[in-house]
Amino acid sequence: MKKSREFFHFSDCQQLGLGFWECPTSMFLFMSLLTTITMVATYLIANHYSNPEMVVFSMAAVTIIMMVVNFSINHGISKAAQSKKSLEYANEKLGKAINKLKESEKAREDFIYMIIHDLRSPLNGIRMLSELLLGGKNKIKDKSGRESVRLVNHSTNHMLSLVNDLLDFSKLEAGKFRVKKVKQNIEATLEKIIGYYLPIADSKEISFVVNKAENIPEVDFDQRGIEQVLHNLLSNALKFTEKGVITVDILYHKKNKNLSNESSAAGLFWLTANKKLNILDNSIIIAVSDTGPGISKNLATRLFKKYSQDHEQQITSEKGTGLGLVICKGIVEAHGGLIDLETKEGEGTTFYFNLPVNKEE
Amino acid sequence: MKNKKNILIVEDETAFLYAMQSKLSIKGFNVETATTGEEGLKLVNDQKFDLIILDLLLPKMDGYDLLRELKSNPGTEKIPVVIVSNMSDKENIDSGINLGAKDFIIKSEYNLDGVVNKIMELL
Repeated sequence: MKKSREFFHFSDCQQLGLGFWECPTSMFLFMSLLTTITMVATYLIANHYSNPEMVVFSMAAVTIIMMVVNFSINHGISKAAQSKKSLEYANEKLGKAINKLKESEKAREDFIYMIIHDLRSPLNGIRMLSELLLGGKNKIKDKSGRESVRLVNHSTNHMLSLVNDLLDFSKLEAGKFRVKKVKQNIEATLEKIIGYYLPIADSKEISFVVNKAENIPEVDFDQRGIEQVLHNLLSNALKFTEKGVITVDILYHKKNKNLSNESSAAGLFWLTANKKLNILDNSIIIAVSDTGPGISKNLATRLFKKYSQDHEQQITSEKGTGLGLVICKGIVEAHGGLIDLETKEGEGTTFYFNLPVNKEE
Repeated sequence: MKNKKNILIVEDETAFLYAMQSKLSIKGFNVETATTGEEGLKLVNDQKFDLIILDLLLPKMDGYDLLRELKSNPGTEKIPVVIVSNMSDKENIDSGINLGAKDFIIKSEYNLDGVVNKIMELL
């Protein structure tokens, strides 16, 4: 049975996913049957006339031609079936290799995560010891000695912030970044973070303007995560603005239609100018605008992407991994929100993000 | 300052341990230190403490084990324990608080004064 299936190439057809009637052999057998019937019928009819052999001969010729055609088609099919088989085998091997690669990638990520995590402990130790030497009873009396320790402290703080960025980033990458959302008032958080930056703004020629709409509902958010986003946006705004105004807007946005009305109430200069903003309905919008140099279009499209080229030189020539905004994006998206920017070279930049307000209460 | 309060720090990172010990001594506390869980447990059984500052990553007996041990012993269960660690994942914080820690301070989020101030709030 198996031999005959092989001989008629049925198994090859099956391999290629062809049905019984799609298989050339079945077609051939069927046609042969038809031919035979026709032949016999013709013979019987032709018997009544003069030249019956001629009919039989031509029928036989047709049959032979059909056999040759069938043979060649089947030959092709068997080749195709063979290559499909080897393709499947290669696919299977490739799948296994990919799985292996994924496993080792995961192991590598875990390893890096652990190393970064462990880096924090000794760095923290150095930071705290240097602080100890800068103040209180253990304070170093020698002035240049104190300056050295201050620099040690400064560098350690810098390094620690890099390590923290890397840790957050590797958490995002490994899908370990989780937000613990609590329904609460976001204005208090905003005020707290702004309060932190006011003295820094005062030390430069920068004034702070905060526009708060009155109808801000409570919203679900992760305290630490959103604080981190605000820290990032505000410190960037301060870093890239020499003098001018930094504006923080917070408003509750219900529906896209009313955008311009709401915006004029809240005083968002960019909302009236640009209606193609990335804004969710029924969400809180927080926007940080500066009067800095603005960002080129080319760079603006890459800011939220990881590992983008010359990212580091352009955005963080002084400090940072250039991962700050990538992390912000991760945090905001973990809240189901969006983050984006509007910028005009020479005029300034606005970074804004949405936090969706839960309707069900 | 009369009646100095006793604080125990269990921490294996010596730089951090020394900085904390010095700062808290300056603030007028009696500070004892241990670098392993076992050592810490021994000290708790020998002396009276008003507060224990506990790291989570310790050799052999880790912070969780020590905390569990402290909370299961009627003599020590009332001593407030503050976890001061860099293990900042939500799971770590939750399990620390669930085991009975009074607070969880993430080391790298505060400077020395910050950590000490938070601890003094708890006393």
